[in-house]
Amino acid sequence: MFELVAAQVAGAWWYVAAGYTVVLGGMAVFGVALALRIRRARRRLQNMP
Amino acid sequence: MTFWRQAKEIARKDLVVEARTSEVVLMTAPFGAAALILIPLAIGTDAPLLSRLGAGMYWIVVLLFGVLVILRKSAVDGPAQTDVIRLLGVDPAARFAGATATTAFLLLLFEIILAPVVIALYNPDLRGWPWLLLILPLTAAGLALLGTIAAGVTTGLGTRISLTPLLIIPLSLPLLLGATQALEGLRLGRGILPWLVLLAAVDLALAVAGVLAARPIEEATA
Amino acid sequence: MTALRSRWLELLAIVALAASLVRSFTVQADVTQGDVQRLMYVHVPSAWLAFLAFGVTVFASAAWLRTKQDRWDRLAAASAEVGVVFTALAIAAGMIWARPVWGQFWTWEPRLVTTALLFFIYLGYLSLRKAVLDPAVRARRAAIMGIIAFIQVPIVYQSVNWWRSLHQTSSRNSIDTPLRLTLWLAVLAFTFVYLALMRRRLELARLEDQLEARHADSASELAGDGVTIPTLDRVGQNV
Repeated sequence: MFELVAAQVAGAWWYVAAGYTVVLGGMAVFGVALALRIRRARRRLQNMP
Repeated sequence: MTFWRQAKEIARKDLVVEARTSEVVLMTAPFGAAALILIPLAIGTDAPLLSRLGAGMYWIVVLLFGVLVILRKSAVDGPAQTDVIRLLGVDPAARFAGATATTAFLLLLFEIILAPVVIALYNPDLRGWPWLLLILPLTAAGLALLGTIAAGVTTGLGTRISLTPLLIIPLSLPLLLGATQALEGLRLGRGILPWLVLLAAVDLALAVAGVLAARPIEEATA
Repeated sequence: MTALRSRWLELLAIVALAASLVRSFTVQADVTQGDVQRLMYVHVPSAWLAFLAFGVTVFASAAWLRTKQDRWDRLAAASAEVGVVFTALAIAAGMIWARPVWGQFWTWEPRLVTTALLFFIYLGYLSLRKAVLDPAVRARRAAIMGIIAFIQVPIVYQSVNWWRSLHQTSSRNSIDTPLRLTLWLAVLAFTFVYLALMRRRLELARLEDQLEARHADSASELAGDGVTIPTLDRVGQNV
């Protein structure tokens, strides 16, 4: 049903770069977001009476 | 009152409510039929194409619109009603069994009403149709079990109309595959038994899980 | 120095990830797929973690139902959130890989389909948690849903497998080509990342639980309480 398009795909490194950027970047973004959420929660707890 | 008597009474109550409004017969089934009519207008009215797609489209409509049949029950059972049932000391598992029985029956009714519609519009391959007498109830039961559990977990939530379908649909894939591939497998000469076993196994697993989860679910409805 | 000690897990994860990256790019290219196959070194570990996180959520759900201790509910919720991220990344990497190799973004094989459905199961679980306000009710309902989902996932996988065998003439196993050692290194690195993210997410969960408890203590009036329903004192006159 599906044919292998090419053994040595043209522009292969673009795909590889895109994939790695998405995955590593995604993890990094999530980590940074977590850190920011933690900071905000800590600040809220401090400001509460 | 014994467990079965309680379950029967709960089922009867739900059926009486449905008989009064005829929601499934007069509203949900026509909605499903309308969808079946709209589909060829979107994908093409080519007869061979429709013949190939007919069975699949039928089951997709049964699955997606069947969720509405499941949702009606949670709309009907307000907090006051559930409180009365709990105060009467009804076993949560019996309540689960009764509710599931009604929903399964209504889903079966839904399937039966839509079947002639899809046969007329799509002219699908009907080889092995007697097996439908087994496939339709098994699928209805599985969907009802899954739906009653999901509805139990989303009771009283404002977003339950959107949330309940999201919980049901991904987990219902085995039911969809079992229903569609059963006759397909027969056509391809590969036998129907694995798919029937799949449907039965899913139903059994969900039934056990549902009965076990009935009390925790009721305790979670503060 | 304390800052460093509290961050040791993150540092370990970053070092492991860096090592895995170097290895992934320097190891020899695959014979059939060429360099594109290197995407497997991020796709497979992400998918592995997606399912591991799901397992942790289910385990924690069962533990909560048994012990009713808050920390199990926090663990379940944290793992679900981290898990949904890894599921999304796994699907994205899988699609970027599939495009050059198969010519289209999606192949209907059991692992990919199950991963996609896992994504929706996660979304449902997290939406359910978000919709319930009472912490005890939330924990119970989420735990039930988690376990129901767990029962269904292997059935989902097996049914898609059977469906494929019914319609495929050649069973071309599309993902099983990456080189073993490099793949294991990547899986290990990603597991450290999971643990590091989990640690932070659990810290956030504890903080949020504290905030919730404090809010419940200070019983504040609802804005609408100040408005009273007008009543008829005497016939025809509003008070």
